[in-house]
Amino acid sequence: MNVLKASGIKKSYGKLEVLKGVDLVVSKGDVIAIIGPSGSGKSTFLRSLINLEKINGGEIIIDGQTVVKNGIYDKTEDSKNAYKKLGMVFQNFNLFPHKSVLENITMAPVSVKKIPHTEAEEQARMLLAQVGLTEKEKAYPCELSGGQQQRVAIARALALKPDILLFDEPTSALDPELTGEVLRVIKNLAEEGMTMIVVTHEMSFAKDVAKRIIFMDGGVIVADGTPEDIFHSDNERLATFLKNYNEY
Amino acid sequence: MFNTVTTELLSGFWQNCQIFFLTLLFAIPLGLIITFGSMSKWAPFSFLRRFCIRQKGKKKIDLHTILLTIADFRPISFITRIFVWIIRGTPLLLQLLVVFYVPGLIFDYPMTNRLLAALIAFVINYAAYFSEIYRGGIESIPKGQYEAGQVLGLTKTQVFFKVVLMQVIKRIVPPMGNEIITLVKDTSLARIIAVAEILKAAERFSARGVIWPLFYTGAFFLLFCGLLTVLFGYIEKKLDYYKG
Repeated sequence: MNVLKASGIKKSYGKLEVLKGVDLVVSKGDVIAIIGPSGSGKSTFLRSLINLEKINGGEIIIDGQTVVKNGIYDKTEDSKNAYKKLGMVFQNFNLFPHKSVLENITMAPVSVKKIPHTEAEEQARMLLAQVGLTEKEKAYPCELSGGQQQRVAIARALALKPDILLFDEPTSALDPELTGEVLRVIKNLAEEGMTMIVVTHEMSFAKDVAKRIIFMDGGVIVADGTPEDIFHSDNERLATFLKNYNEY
Repeated sequence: MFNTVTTELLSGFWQNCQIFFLTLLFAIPLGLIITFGSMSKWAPFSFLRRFCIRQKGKKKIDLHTILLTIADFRPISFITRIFVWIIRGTPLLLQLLVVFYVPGLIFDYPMTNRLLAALIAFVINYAAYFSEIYRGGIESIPKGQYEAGQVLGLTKTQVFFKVVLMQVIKRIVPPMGNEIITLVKDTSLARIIAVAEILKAAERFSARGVIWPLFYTGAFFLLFCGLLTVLFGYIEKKLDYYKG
């Protein structure tokens, strides 16, 4: 079953064409890693799926609701609600610094979904347990390590029970020794059947966790397949990209 | 003698306090409105953009550039910024004179209430300064905070009040404290339109050859600013429960 369908996504900044027609169909339970060199458009593509970037052309359908058609945005309430089926985790966490960990997680359920406060807190505590941060509920983001902040950000995104969770380089801002704790949380989610799209530079993570890897370069999808396919592809650009990674 | 002077000066200082508190009361919200004005993105001619996407001009100034300039024109922002420029670019003393005399000179509707005239000038002047402090605070909030709010499904209003506002307040407390302490002393400028504020009261003594009350007024200002400094220190400490 398709939960997300993007076709012919085009995006330019002035004269610079960042996305030159990208297609992606996501089925329930998919765990997709998007890899590619810097400037390949992978983050822009991910951000355009959740309306953080306005696309100039193409079509996006979220759970059967066409939110963009031929680059024109549908402004109905149905389309606005469709975006609520997507969750997002950022590279820089973007936690609210003036709110405690628990308040960060309960804010959206309480003010968007109108869930009673106590119920939202109960659910937030369960999510904190899930990401292994039970004892940090009263802490403020500035008191946490990067890895802990990112796990809170994941819990915050999960609190809205999204159908698909998007990750924009979730470990790129972390010290190497802190990436593991975040990747383990994402891996657990994958095992629970969460549908996810992860833009990442962590090749071993992509290999282990993703069911499907997309390689983007120059604003297009160059290769799309299982980790097996991708890591044994004879596509020249892909092979060069992976070789550069393996050298380090 | 000392008691007479103190009583006289105190009644003058009461005028300063009135100007001070009423200016804050009105200028703080008015400043926010001016901020929204200067940050307004309303561009009524943006539709012109459609006509110039595919044109390629060779000369430096061609139709394309002109159209784009008109399309990008934001009238509310433009007018507000001109207004702020005028208010911040002219002396407050002059503004007091304008507010007091111009209604009588041009509209034949003389200002009779000196305190009211002073208040109008102070509110407009300080709202303009506050608006720039607010704007700086709002623009200093990272884009990621708005994006996080958006992807969590918050409306723009919710993002402003629940996410941005408290962070802006924390950031603007030091510059606002500075500006508000300046206001305390600026209130004595009202004597230019004969408001009976503290310096005016002291001048009545110096006109009779008693000069020391003039210097004594400094104590009133010092004491008041001292209290404000303590208050702002307290607010800053209160907001210090988080960093960033």
